[in-house]
Amino acid sequence: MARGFVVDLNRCTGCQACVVACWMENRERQSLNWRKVHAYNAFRHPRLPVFHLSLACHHCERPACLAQCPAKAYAKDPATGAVIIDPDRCMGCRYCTWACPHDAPKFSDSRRTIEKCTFCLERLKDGLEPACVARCPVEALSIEAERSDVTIPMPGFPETDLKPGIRFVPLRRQEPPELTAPVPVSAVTRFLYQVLDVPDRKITLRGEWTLVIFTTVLSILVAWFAAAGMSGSSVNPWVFLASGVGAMALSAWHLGQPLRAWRALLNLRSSRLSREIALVMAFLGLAAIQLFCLPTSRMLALAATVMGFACLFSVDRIYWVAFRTGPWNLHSAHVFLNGLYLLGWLSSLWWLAGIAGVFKLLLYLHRKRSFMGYGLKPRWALSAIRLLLGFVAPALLEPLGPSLAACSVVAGDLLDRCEFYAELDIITPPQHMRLGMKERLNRDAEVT
Amino acid sequence: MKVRVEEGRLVSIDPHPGNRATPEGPCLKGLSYLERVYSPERILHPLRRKPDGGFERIQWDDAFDLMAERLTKAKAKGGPQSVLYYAGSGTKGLLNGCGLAFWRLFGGCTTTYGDLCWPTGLEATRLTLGDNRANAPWDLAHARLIVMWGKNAAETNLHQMRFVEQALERGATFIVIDPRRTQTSERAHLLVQPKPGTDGALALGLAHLIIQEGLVDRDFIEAHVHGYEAFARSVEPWTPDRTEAVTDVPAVYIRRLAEDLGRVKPATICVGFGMQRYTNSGQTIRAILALLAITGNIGKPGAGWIYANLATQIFGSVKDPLDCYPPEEQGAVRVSVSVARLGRDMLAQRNPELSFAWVERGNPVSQNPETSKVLEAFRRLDFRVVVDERLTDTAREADLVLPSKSLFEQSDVIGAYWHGYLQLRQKVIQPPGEVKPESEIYRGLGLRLGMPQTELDAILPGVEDDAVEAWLQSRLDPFGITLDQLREGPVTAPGMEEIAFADGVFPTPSGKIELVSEEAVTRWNVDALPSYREPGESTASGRAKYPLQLLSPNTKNGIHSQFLTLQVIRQFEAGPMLFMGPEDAATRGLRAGDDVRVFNDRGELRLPLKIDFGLRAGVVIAVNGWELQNGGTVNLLSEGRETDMGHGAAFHDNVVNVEKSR
Repeated sequence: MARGFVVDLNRCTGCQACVVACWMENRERQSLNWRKVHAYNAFRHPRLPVFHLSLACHHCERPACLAQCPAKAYAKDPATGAVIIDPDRCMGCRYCTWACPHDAPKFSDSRRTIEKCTFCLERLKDGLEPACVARCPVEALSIEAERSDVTIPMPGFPETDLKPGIRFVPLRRQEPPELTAPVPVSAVTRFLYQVLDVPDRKITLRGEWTLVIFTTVLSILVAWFAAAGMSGSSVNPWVFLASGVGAMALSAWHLGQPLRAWRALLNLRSSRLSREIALVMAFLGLAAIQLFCLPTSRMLALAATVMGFACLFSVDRIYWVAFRTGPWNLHSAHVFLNGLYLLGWLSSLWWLAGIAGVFKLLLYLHRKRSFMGYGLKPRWALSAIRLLLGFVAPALLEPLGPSLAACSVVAGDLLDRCEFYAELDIITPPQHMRLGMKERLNRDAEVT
Repeated sequence: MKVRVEEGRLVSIDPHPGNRATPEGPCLKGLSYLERVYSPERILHPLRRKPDGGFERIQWDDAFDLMAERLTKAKAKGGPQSVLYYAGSGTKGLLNGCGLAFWRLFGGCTTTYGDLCWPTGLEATRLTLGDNRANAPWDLAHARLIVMWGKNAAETNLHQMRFVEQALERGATFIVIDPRRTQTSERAHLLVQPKPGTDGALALGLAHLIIQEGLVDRDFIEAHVHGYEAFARSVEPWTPDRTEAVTDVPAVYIRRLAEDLGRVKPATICVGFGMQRYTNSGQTIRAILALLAITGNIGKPGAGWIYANLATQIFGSVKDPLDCYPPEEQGAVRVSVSVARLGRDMLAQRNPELSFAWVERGNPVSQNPETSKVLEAFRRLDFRVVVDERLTDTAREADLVLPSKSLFEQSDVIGAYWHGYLQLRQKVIQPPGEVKPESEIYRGLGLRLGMPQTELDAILPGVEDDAVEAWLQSRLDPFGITLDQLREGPVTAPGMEEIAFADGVFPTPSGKIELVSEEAVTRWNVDALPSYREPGESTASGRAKYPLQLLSPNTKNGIHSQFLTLQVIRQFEAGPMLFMGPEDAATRGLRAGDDVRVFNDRGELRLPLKIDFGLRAGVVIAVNGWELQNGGTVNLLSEGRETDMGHGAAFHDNVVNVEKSR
């Protein structure tokens, strides 16, 4: 029977004993905390209550980590519903940490693989409660024999269709205690963003620069190959192959366990990452066969081109798990769009460059506008350079040769892609809490 | 708690279901012993100070020789009373009594009186009720009204919150009185935020209203209260307007609170130790107790006074607050140094002056008031021995540091001060390295000093585990308790009652609850009735030299200076910091995270600033427990000053200012 956690918000005092209890039980296979206690309104805004969510893994019925793991490192225990990772099968790609909105899988910098809550499977099998539950001093944590599907909106807990095995007993009163000397809200406002905006982003450009290079090289290779095929010429097979293999190697190098990179192909059935890697390999493989063995086969060139764009499409699909991606995950740094735009310039297909360019431009402006709405800093100078390189300079350079124009397009798109990674984020419980707080405070402000 | 040991090593810590007060789990600190016992910071062998100020490892034989030589010299020069014996409350247990017994055998010593922790409240309670007893912890679940006054149980008495929650689940009303908004007040319906140190005025104002509105329990007063009429007259001037003016609690809330206290029954008031750390706090506690007396909320299920329960303190020296006071006639042991004024009193000792100090279970440099004076006094001595688990600020001042045992390395019997269980703390692992329990240190030193073996045997247990257990059993015999019983689980202390004072017998001079106490006058020179005076150093009426009242409460992450250095704790408590409300920060142009200078005439501290929207203007917080070696103790700013009764330390009579660090 799948079991589930229950967290009683009235009882939890945020004492952290559960975190230490978890460490006590699992410290030999744990290099960082699997359970975290998240405080809502830790700075005690007078309009909001303070409460704590003690969260580890919710052992979802449809776990995103398991579905998206390319290496099939995850398994679900049929008896308890526990979602278990086998660190020996993990290649350290960290994609599960993006896929899980509850921050359950944790990447261990020391072990270079993922670790996570095991539901204390051995204890459950022995008829014991998980360590965190057994040692909670105030009975705030418990487990139920059977999961209930009742979920309530809860700051810190994004609603998904993953069917997480956790239930919250909500606060009896959603309001803070009545205060006889509340700090005036006007005095709070000045400091609110100093305490509210704590940077703790999961994805950063600095951390993911290898992916920027990999995806950009891929879009160049696809457009270059396609353009050559259309013009009847062909690309330099050695340069092409070296770039492709180099990009692949670079992306493997950023894995926690590069030697297990081969495992990336194990989960084509459900992992977007597996599919992406497979399609990249198919594109490079087909293109290489065409270039080296059958340079005259137009059919094979066409097939490789189609495969190339399919692989760019699959790259973009990876980022569906990110937060604030907008409808259909469309954005101006989409590698699929980049490939089409570049192809337009390389092949002098003005209609293609025009349509893709206008589309990208609109998406870029839209993204900037919406990210400013989230309180992210606009970088005007960078945007100006990006627009100049990507859209203005190619037109000016085109008379000097399509490759110069293409270089400018690539430079512009690279900047865009870097910005995209810098802005990209994954929702986490504390971030969800902060958004919830902001929303409630804004709502309150409108009412008053 | 229950601990699991595999191959001689501690592997896990779990709750003991036999303790009804804490059956669900130890707190964070209890669990963290798993790290503490094996911490790389632990001292595993004697350390001697080197001329360059560092420490070097020495053999026990050399340590005993050194101590014997220095003690003999001190005794020859100034007599045994030139030796200061300072024992804190870092670990509890029957065997702690060995220390003073040893020093008596030595010929005497100088030692301290009073207590840093709780004596003011104990004395106020003793004067009023005759004894420090309380209902069983779980009885709180029966209260219909819980007033937690100056107490943050969620951090300092976590397990009590379980019973608060049980009462709330049954529909009880929960009110917290605290200048701070805390994790405890988060569960409350109402948080009353008086100016720090004005709680006594609030209690008198509440009594005024309860009496005026006729909400008193006439029958109970008739039967059990001494001095009611005089008390009623004395609170007449405490109108809601005057109370509001003094406490800054709006009259409307004073009325509401009085209404609740007068009408909702049964009511329990839980008082924290922090509130009795002002110079006026004995009288404050008496005033709060009076509220329960006049509403008949004592001796009944769900009703009563939860401050400290001394039911388990049956073994002597800490049995009663009276034992913390200087004796009327001094004997071989000179009890002449107030812990509250430790530094000043050490420097003031004459005939003989102090030349040698022995410190165990305590860290006075960072934890007693007025660090600069404590340091001065310690540095003026000829020789200092500190027994501790790690190099605390005090150990760093020592000439010789001796390693101390952890609680798993020698069996002992412990009491409690909230629940009523006696418990056996069994030896489950061998002391690491060359660690010796204090009883063995004293034995070794005694032999080296030429004390007769038979006399040492009379006061100290033998070295073997069996001998320790036999020693403990001999102390348990008078109470009819056996170690075997304790091995099974916690045993209720003899005399522990489910409902304290249910028989209506109050061991006071009048046999009743005393609102008028002659002893308060004769012993402490305060008014016979509970009364309010502003604390000696307070911002309450705006006359203080500095504008901010600094409170130095405890955090859930430590017990004073214990635990805070552990990694498992440090992940939740990064280091010392100053908490300030947004209004005070704005007037000083400060931002969250700024480095600030907290100062008064006694000293200064530099801390990162944390903005706390729950803090009213005029109050700043820095938790106590951080040491000089962590960036500074709050006691650099406090003054060595006693409370109005019980020889407590008035830590919170402390005003400061804050500015941006330059």
